[in-house]
Amino acid sequence: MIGLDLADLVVIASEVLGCDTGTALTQADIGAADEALAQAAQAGQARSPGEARLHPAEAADAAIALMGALLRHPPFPARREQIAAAAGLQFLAVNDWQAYIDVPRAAVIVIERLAAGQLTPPQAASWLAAHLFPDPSLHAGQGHPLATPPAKFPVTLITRAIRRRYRRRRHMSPFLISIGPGGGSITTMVTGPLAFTGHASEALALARRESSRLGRLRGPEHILLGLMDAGDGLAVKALKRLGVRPDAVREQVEQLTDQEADYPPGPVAPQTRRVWHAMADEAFARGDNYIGTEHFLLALFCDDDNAAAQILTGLGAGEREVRAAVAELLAESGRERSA
Amino acid sequence: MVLRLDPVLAERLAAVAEVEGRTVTDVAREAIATLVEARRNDKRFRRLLEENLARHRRLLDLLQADES
Repeated sequence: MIGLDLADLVVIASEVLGCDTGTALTQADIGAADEALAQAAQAGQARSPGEARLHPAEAADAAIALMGALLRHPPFPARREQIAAAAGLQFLAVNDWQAYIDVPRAAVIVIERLAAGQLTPPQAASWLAAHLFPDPSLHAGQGHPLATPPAKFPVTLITRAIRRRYRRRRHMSPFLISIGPGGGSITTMVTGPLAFTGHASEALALARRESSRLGRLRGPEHILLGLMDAGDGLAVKALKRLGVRPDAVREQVEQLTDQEADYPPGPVAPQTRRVWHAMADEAFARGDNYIGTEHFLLALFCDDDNAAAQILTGLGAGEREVRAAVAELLAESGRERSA
Repeated sequence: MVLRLDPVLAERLAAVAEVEGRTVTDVAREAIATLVEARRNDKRFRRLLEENLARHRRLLDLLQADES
């Protein structure tokens, strides 16, 4: 594990504060930085010895320990949360991990609750671990903890693969998807169980059927197809309001499938993993205790190289338009409920 | 400035400060500044930092907005 030192913190702070390193150094509370780094180093010593590369749970534990220490002993008190976040992310990067924070508001809530003591470090680390991916600039097949062999089906296999990997290290799995005949849920240590609504469960079942029918698996575009066919949920209403026709979506997805979408091997495309995490984060960021079709739909925009988001954007329903339409519909349904 | 130092290192620092007629704090700050300068010139660290800050700009902006 590569830890950060005082010089690293000053360089990070100078970039965040937009000043030179000399100015950052004069502004720094060196004693606080020293205390924070000592506490973070102590926490980092708990990791499994003798391994060059950190397991994601260990990387997340160490990053959260560093962030927590910098929040308790801020070297730059006026910008303590920003500097703590930047330092945590930089720690991950130098240890070959990238955090994909697709719903920044959810990360803000995690950091603020960690700072306020409303989230424990293990809870925050569990949330972060679910958002870690190997640095894509590293070559594939180097024995990275998340490098997985090809497999057949996304949802159940991603859950099993995550459980296996974490059980092996005696860490609690950070992200569990449970799907049964009567519905399902996503559970994280931060949110607890978030049950799928009826429409969301239906969308998921249809997505599975679509991916099997098309002979290709794993893509977020299958979730989009499922959404379009799943009754009259909020996502369908939002897309209808934006003039998106289901047949136009289907046509584009099938074309894409014919062109053999370029997904790397694995139980699930990385894009789809990010959609799952973003779904839970969308619900968490909005304070919802369930996962509805609107969270599915918003989560599809979690990254730019996601085919579903590209198709929707091409049909005039980009992220901004979709967010506005969902907000309108939620406001209207709120008005209806209160009327 | 309060710094957790190895006793041997603290003694050396005090000796340098005495010889140069400066305070221990001054000498320590200068040493840290030298380290910072070296880190600033670490290309991999700089590249990762720049990429990170660009990738997470929205998160950092939201945190700043909430802090101010």
